[in-house]
Amino acid sequence: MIYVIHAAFLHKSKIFDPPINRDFQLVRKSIFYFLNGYRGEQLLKKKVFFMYDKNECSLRPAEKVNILWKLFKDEKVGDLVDSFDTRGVIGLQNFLWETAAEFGVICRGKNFSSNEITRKMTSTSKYQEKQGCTERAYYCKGTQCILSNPECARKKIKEQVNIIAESMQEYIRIERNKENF
Amino acid sequence: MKIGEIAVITHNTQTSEDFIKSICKKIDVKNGIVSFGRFDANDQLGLHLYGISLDKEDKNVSWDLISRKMLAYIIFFDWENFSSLETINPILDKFSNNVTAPIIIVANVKDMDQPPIPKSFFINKGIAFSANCRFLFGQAEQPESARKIMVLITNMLLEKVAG
Repeated sequence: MIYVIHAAFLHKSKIFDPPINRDFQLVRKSIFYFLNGYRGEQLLKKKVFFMYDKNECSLRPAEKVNILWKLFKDEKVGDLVDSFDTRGVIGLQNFLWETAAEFGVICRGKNFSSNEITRKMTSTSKYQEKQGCTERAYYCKGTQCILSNPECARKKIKEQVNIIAESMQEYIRIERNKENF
Repeated sequence: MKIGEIAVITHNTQTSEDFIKSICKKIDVKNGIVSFGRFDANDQLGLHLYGISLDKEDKNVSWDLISRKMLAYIIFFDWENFSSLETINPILDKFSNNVTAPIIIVANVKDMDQPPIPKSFFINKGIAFSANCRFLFGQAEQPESARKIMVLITNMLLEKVAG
């Protein structure tokens, strides 16, 4: 009962959008902090509601094959963001990021830096400004805001996913030219 | 004699038989569901390859029992045929939760001399999905491609021991 009241309160206060199947331990932890007087931003800092664990969001192999299918067939991977649930969206971003880094290392060797991908992305401050968001910069992570402000976070992740996918396609082009050379 | 058993799961019978023939030279036993091939490295070590085609799969196959015994799984689908990917999806999902043995997902292409992406991205280690699952392109009927897949399985098994 207390969980329901607690969740309802947080939902009403717009700081917590209760996700389905949350880890029971996480709920207990959140109640502990809540009963001990933590509110709003303090709860955010404790990361009791807003952070998904990386392994928790790992996609199923079938989903990963589908992503590669789209990617290597030159289709827009970013569109997948609309079809995935919250965990899936984070999983998609993680998987693409890891694979892009692998491709980058193969293509560029020691010269690879993740900056060559991230510099194409809109900076957090600019993105927040564009969205009229007044939260602190470190909240503007897809993995955090995806629960409290899913629409904005999904938009950001979609843009990033498209940029990562474009970078991967660029690595493929470079490597293909090397093979043909 | 020590025997390692490998399941070759495909969307159609032809692909699994092609792959087994690439490794074992011939199919020893064939029935409605399973094709079987044997590769004896020497009198101490052998590999048994079981080709299981999902288009003929008996819905009562006890994957949970079979899956514990296998050394590795090779799961094929046809890169140019999206419905073949949909055929293997349920088995991929089932295995991802229950299987700790290496799983190699192979996108079968017609010509490995012109794969969809440059070979350097997948030929040595495949594209990593998780600690025990990799993806790569291959050609079931080409012995060289089949050997690369077997080398990848060996490497993944060695990594497990080392890790």
